[in-house]
Amino acid sequence: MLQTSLKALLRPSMRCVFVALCMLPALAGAAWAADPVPANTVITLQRGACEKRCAVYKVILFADGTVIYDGQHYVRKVGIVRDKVEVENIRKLIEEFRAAGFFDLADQYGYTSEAGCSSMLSDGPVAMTSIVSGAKSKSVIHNHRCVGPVPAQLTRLESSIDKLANTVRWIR
Amino acid sequence: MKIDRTKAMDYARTYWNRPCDDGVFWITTNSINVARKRVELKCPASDGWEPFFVKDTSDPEKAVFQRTVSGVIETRLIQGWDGLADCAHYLSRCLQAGGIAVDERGVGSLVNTLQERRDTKTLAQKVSKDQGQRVVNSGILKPGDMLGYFNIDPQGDYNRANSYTHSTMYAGKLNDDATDDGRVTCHTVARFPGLSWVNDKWWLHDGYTYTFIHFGDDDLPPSAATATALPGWWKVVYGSRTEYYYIYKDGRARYTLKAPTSNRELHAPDGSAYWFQGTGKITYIWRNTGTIEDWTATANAREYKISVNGTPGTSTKMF
Repeated sequence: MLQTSLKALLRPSMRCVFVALCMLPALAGAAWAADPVPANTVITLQRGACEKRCAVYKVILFADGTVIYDGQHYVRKVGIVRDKVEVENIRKLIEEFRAAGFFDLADQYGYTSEAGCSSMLSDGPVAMTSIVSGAKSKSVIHNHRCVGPVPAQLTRLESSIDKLANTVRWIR
Repeated sequence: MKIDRTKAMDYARTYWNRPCDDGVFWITTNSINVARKRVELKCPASDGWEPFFVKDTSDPEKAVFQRTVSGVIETRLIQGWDGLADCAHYLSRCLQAGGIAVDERGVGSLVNTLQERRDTKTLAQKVSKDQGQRVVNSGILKPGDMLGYFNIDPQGDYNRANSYTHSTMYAGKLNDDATDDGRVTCHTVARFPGLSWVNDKWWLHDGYTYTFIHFGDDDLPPSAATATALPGWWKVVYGSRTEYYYIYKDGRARYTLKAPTSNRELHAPDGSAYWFQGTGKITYIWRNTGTIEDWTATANAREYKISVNGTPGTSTKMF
């Protein structure tokens, strides 16, 4: 019985359909990867002060790959720096925001309430992350004193922004 | 002159959230003169303006002139968080109020200056939070003693590690509660036990090791009997360890793993401590580890029951 079914699959007409079905995910992926970054995309990370003299700066990323860094306090580079990154990396960052469920998060973690915090550390800066992309926009205030799974996710997202902009060269 | 701990603490209680009585507070590059700022910002004392360190919305702290008019608090900014660095200056003023002539601006130099004084004993040097808590709980540390915070977090405190970046004055246990961690007072950020808007437990934050500097001139002197019997070599056994202590009459002790062959032999130590005679026991605090060791007398004057961080043992006089 099984051998008969296998033979049916291997008939030329069925082979074409079979191959097309196998290629579908790849074709879909290729089409998804080609989605342009919405032209209105702006991603912002503002890192605030802490008692242990955390670096205070802002970094803004635009749809065309433009990076603006504004160093304020306790950084190596104070002032404005303009740079450029690959647009493909902006697209990947947007996907990170989506994968993290950023648009469905609360507006703040540990800033005015401890909801979403498993515990609170004794010191930590406040980071504000925002994204406008296409029809969606969202800002989240993340007090780094707030410890928990969602704050950890936010920390990873913030680190991704820093990594893409390579802010370490201006901070330390 | 012995430290007057009451006066040091009284000063701290008055100035913990205000510029010190010398009319200045320090930022990283220079000092801010409060009187000049009054003129610049049009905040005369006669109009009710007073300088304070206050909590800021998004920054840890700022310096402002403040007054209350018809129940409304008015503020004018003197200096924002960026650059505030008044901890060593405040501590110096507290100690001066307590009769100790110290005047330092930097934490590193304050630690060095205090450690070099004849009237201080470094109980523990760059120990961890857990080790430091043992030192606090020993009861030897008293209000007016000083803590240095050595930053080991590469991302914290001026974006660098491996330097002293903060100093505080020990202020005792809150409400004399024996279970309390122990509290401190300091500037930048302003703290006084029970009044602070931030954590004022002695350890402050993660990312530090701690140095405890104790003013020892007001310690109770050992009894004549102890001062006579204690000095010399002792064999100490606890857990699986055997160590050899040489105890000095002046309150110092040192240990080695190598057995001495005579009472006159003094070889290089593996560690050092100070010892203090308390009620019914002698307490050692070991500098490198914050180890607390208590000796309790037995019927044999040449033998003690000991406890090393809770591990029982014995010590026996040699020679």
